[in-house]
Amino acid sequence: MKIAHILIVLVIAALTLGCIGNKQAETRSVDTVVQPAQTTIAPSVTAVPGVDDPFGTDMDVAALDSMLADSTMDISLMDSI
Amino acid sequence: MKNINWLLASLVTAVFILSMFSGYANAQTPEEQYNLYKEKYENAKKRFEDARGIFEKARERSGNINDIRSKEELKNRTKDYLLRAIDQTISHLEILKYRVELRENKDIIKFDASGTIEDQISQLEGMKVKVEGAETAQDFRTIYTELKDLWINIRLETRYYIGIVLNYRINSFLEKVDNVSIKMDEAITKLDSKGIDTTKLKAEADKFDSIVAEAEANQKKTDDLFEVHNGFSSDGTVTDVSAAREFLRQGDELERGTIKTIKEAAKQLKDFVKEFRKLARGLVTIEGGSTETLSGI
Repeated sequence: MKIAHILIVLVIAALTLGCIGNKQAETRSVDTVVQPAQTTIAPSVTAVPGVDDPFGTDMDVAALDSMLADSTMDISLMDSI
Repeated sequence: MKNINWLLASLVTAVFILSMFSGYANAQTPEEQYNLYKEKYENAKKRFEDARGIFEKARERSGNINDIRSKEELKNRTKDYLLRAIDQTISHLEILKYRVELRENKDIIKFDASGTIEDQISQLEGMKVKVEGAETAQDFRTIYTELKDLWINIRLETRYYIGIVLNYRINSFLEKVDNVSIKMDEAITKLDSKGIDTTKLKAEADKFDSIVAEAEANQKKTDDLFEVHNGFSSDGTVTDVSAAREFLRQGDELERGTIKTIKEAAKQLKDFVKEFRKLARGLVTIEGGSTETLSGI
């Protein structure tokens, strides 16, 4: 009986906090992704195609921009110490 | 009643314990995970810049007052500067490792970029241990030289990896817009068949095609450049630093140019859609539904 109580409590708490029931979005995207070329889940891009962007090109452009920004990350090391 | 009290108390405890891990549980989408890495990187960068400022001041003070206390302070500040520099470099690598390991990017790079990044992170972790044990100015200088040399390779190699992925994505985008072009022509034909004047719409479509052609021509040059990959071996490691630098400089310039043109094409596409909707008045649709995306074509 006590074990059943503990299980109920844990499941309710986990559901409340979203620890379970949230499948990896990456997995979700795999279901819809036909080939690697698709950039619909590119990091740092949250937009979904809408009336103003019926072909989803804004999302693609934002994904390219984000990747370009990462390629320019640098560190300002001093010449000598 | 006793049971209900017990249940409530347990629930509160469980929520408390699980909430400690909910950050990880909630960071489930690639975007959220990426943002976590990015946030970590920004924090590491800030800490490095602070440590650098403090180190520079300590070095200046040490030059004016040459006593044991200031020497000890300089030693600690140097240590901190080096550790923070290594931390930022590791955070930088973690973001790029995440990028290359993303499921949709996995097959794009033909060599083990992720493994190389992992090795570099291990080297940096090893360097942190050396920093902790360093005592003399010479010890610190030796580690610093090692760090700077490693950084040169990290910077070049990771730019190369991201350049490959970016190049692939640009090509994919250009393939998509070829499909868009077909859809645009189909839309024009539909309107023509209804006797609607499409002169302006055709002009918008031609402009779009012309911008895309420009992007494709530029992208061809990038493809050729990456085919040769001057300064890098086939496993993605640097073989010639100056050749690699020049290759990446040219690649970066070309990719930026193509992305700029792609943005113009995206803007032109919007102008086309706007004009189409004005003419079609809901009688004809361009994409078979407003939620359809290129990826669904």
